[in-house]
Amino acid sequence: MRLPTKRPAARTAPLPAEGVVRVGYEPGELPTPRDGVGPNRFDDPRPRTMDRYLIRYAGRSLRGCLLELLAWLRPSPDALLREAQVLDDADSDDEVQAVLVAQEAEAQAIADFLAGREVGLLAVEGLVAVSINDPGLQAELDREPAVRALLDSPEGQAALGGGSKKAHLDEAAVRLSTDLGRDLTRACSLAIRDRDNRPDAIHYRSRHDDTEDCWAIYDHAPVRLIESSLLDPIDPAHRKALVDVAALWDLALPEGWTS
Amino acid sequence: MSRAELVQGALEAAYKRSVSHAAAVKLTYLQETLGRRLTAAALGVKDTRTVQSWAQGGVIRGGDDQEHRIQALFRVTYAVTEVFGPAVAAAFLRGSNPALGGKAPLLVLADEPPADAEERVMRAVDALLEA
Repeated sequence: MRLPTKRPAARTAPLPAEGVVRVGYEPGELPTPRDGVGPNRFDDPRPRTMDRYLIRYAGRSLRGCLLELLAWLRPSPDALLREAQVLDDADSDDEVQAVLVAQEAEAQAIADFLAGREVGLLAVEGLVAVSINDPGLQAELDREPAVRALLDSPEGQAALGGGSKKAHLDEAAVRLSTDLGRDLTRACSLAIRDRDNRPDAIHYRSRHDDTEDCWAIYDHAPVRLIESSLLDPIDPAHRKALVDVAALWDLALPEGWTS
Repeated sequence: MSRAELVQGALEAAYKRSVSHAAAVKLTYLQETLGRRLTAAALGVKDTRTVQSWAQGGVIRGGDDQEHRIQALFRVTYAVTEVFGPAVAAAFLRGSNPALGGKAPLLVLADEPPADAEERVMRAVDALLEA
């Protein structure tokens, strides 16, 4: 007979009193509603439902926001190799020139992607958040039917159960960077929203840097834009954040952003 | 035009053009937008001359799968280019994409069955355009 165990209860995770940072074209606004399932980690998992909810994504720092925003830009060594293996009549023997052209293109991509975006500070006083990295919350979500169905699926078993063990919602599961991982965190998002105490936000650690705190804030949470300004290299804090991220991932910086 | 309208318009135009334009038109656009080498790599082709010949009306080897791969690459490239420009489209194809488990869209399009690849990469495009 198993003795009853005392599970750790889910804890609340306080949001910073000074507010949270959001980068976007209109950082105070909600994203546009859509019919399908949203593409992000904690978006509503239900397509075409009447009571769809929307999520604002924010971070403790601008650096954290940029890590999340620019993650797709890190060149894949495998992709670069595949491209380099293609034969081209116009091949040049000048490797230095080829590297310079590639860096220029990368810098242009960063400039184009960031153009027109603003850095906003959102007031979040009084909001209640739970953390997806909290083992107590993970243990509770592990028993949610929609989450369990994903964990018990063949894909869940293969990815998290080693094929034979029962898969559980743990740190590996919530950080999984695959379609299954996103389905899991979206299912968690809905389950958390439907709790009796209806939290305002989900805290999560950036997958790219554990020290960067991020939040998915539900649309029922009353947030207020305190201030916003164009993402601009003239602002030393903006420049430092982008320089940090570019250095971490060895990205070429656009003109004006180099320190 | 609002941001949301720009994104929605780009996605719709990308799909319509990907299914209505002739392969040669799509290949010419891709080579002009991405460059010859990146276009060939994303189509799983080893020599840019092969793509060049297809763009000039040559017979496309690889049958329906290769035609579908061209359609998928065009749809992805057109949508991203309309919203962010060609440099972002090229960087997107080469990048380790979090929505694809860290795999580059270029490799997914080149290596996986085109119907699955198109669906998966378009979800990554969706995330990019909404970011």
